[in-house]
Parts: sequence; structure tokens; C-alpha cells
Amino acid sequence: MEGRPLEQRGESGLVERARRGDQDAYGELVTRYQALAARVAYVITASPSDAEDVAQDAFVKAYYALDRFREGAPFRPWLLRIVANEAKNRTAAAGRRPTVELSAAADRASGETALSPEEAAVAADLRAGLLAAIGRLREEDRLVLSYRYFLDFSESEMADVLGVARGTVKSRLSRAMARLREVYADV
Amino acid sequence: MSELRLNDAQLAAALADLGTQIAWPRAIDVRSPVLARIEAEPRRTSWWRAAWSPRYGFAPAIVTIAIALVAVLVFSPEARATATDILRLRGVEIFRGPVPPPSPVPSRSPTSGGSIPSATPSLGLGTLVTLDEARARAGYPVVVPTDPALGAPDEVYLRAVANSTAVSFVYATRPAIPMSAQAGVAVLVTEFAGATVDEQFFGKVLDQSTTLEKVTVNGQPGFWIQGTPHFFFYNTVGTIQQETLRLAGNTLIWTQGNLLLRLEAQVDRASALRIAATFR
Repeated sequence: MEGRPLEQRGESGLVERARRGDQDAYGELVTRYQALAARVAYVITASPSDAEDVAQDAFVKAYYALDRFREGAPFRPWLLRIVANEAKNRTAAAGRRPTVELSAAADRASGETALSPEEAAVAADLRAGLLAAIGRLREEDRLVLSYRYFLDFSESEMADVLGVARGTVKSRLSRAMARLREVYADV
Repeated sequence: MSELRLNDAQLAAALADLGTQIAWPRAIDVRSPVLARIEAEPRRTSWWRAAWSPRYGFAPAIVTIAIALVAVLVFSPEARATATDILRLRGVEIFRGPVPPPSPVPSRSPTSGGSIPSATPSLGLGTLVTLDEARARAGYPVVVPTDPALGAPDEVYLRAVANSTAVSFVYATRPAIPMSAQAGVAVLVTEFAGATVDEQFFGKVLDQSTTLEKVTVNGQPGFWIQGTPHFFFYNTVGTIQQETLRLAGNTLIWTQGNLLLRLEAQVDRASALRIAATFR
């Protein structure tokens, strides 16, 4: 299909083979999606080790759920939904408010070669403030922002992973932005 | 700190920038462990697929499952739409589906209209016995929760199930535990011998209203099910028995020694685990 990401080419054949019990085919799907699965799990759990465990468990669950996978449907959103559910269950069990970590480079503001030291410091402050504000949001708001801006999901991918109608995504996103702005003003 | 006002576009740009600075987890490689796990437990095809698949054929177990499921569909046509999958554990099968309407409660005489009758006869728990009788007749060492929030059970029931005897404890009302609208009791505990929850968990995509989570109770495996009602099927050595989740609430199911235990109550996971840890 035109414009389809490279990872999705030949995918329906792999899924169909995996569904018939071909574990090599499933292994190929794992290889394709494990990095993305770990990132989705990470924005939900904010724990790298949990993210890896979640990804592994989600791939195992997805394998046993392949029977219910609708033939010809895209595998990626279906899988990511499983990953998200798995990660949420684990986060709920841990009872904490997860906030992702920024890379060391972001703290030092050293990557901003185009910026003056002052501007870079402002940028670093802004990041820290925004991240703190995101950490105070409800999960629903935090996730919609994370999917959109950290994982760069399209609205339709967000709808799939969030399990809501596409029309709902826009309103959720704008509501989350409004709440973020309120919380950020208080940080 | 933020007298800095951002408009929508600036905020979006700032968030996108933030996204480029996330310390993502290092690259993972879960292919081998995932394949090892699915190798250990080959996938079971859904019964309706399996029944038609030349690879599986009409294995007797599948026929039994199909018959059990058909029985459910007969009693509960609406289950047809949603009983779409089977969660198989060794010894326990959970079919997802709506709970059938509660068994009709016999109409009461007008004179007793104001009292709250015991709802338990309609739960089909078996014969009302004392705890001592249950201990003597169960055929295995009966364990009882010692959580002070529950105290002693209000009623104890004994009922024959395939290859074992089920003992049920009913806790009619308890402070801080809502009463089940469906069953009219706060907590229901059921235990029997001879079935175990398998270590290998056959995963289940959770719908939005129900979550199923693997938990550990006293070092042994269990499952926490929270949300909408489900059917339970217990398979003790080849015989499948239908059980309805009577309280239509949250359920913890776990093993303790040779026993399979189930706690049904409108409590949260932590409370259920706390109670479960007190079974002696």
C-alpha cells in the first residue's frame, strides 16, 4: 500500500502464518515491533525494566490471541492495544504515577548548538517544567499527549491504541492540552 | 515559574521537542524469550476453529467444551455475541460472556415482605452445613480466611463437584464491602481440591471493561479478574462444569496446595490479595 511504513510490508502474510502456528513468522513480527512495543510500554510504566517485561508478556499474549485477530486488519494497532493494556495493568498494580525520564543531554541543554547558552537554559527549563506538569496529569491526559508527541502517533493510531473512536481523539487531545496548560502554569 | 504563556502551536512544538529528548529504554530483544514461552505451550485454537481444523479434529475434549458452550448459549442467547474466546488454564477455563439473568428468587409471602431473606438458597451452593461438618466431609483440609474484616462466615455450604467437594463460605454483610446487587451477599468464597491454575498463562486480550491479571498469592499463581461478569468453567479431570460468577463482581482465583480457591467480592485487588493471604 502506498505510504505504508516499511515494517508493514508483507505483514499480513506473516500474521497469517503465525496464526497457523508458524513460530518463525511470529518471531519476525516480534523483531519488527519490539522496539515500538517497548516505547509504548515505557510511556505508560516509565520503567525501562517494566517496559521490557510488558513487551515480552504482550507478545506472548498476542500470540495466543491471534485466533481473534481479524484477517487482513493491521497488526500494529492491534498489538499496541495489547501492549497498552498490559502496561496499564502493571502500572495500576504498582500504584505510582509514572513520568518518563529525559536524556542527560536534555538536562544539560548541550545539544542546542543553534542556541545561545541562555536560550538553551530556557529550553531546558521549559522541558523540565512541561515534564513535571505532564507527570501531574491524569493517566488519560498523559497518555494522549505521550502518544501524540512522544511517539508521534497519527490520530488514527491513537484511536486504536486508546480504544476510542477517531473523533474522540481530537477532543481528548485538546482537553489534555488545556489541562497541561493549567497545570504547567502552577508548576 | 511560568509567566511564559505558550499558545497552542508553541505548546505543541515544545511537547514535540520534549519527545525528542526522552531517555527511551535501551533496545530490547525479546524474540528468544517470547518464542521459548510460546514453544512451551503451543497455542490452542478456539474451539470453533479447532472443531473444523483438520489439525485438531474433533478431539473429545473439544467436543466437551463445545457442548458446555452450547449449553451456555441455550441458557443465555446474548452470550452468543460475546463468548468469543476461551481462557484456558490447566484445570480452569474461563469463558468470557455476560452473566445470565439471576435465578428467579421464589416469591415471598406478603407477611415477610419487610424482612431481608437469605439470598443464598438461590445461589445453588449446595447443602447448608456447619464449618465442622464441612471440615469432616470435604475430604481435604478446608482452609478459612482469618482476616478480621471478614470474621467467621455466616453460612457454610457443601456441594459435590466433579471429583471433589466444593465448600463455600458466605459473608452476608461486612462493613466496607458493598453487597452484590445480584447475589445479595458481600463476599463469597469457594474452594475445592484437585484443580490447579497452570503456571503457563494463556493470554487474553482484555476488553475495556474487564481486566485479568496474573497475581501471586502466598507464592502460588492466581488471577485477579476485575470488571464485568464472566462465566467460569471448572475442568477437573475431563469433566467440565459451569459456574457462574455469582456476585458479578471482582474475583480472585488462586491455588493453595492442592486446593483451588476463589474469592468473589466488590473489593479492590489489594484487599482481595490481603484477604487471600490469610487463608489457614
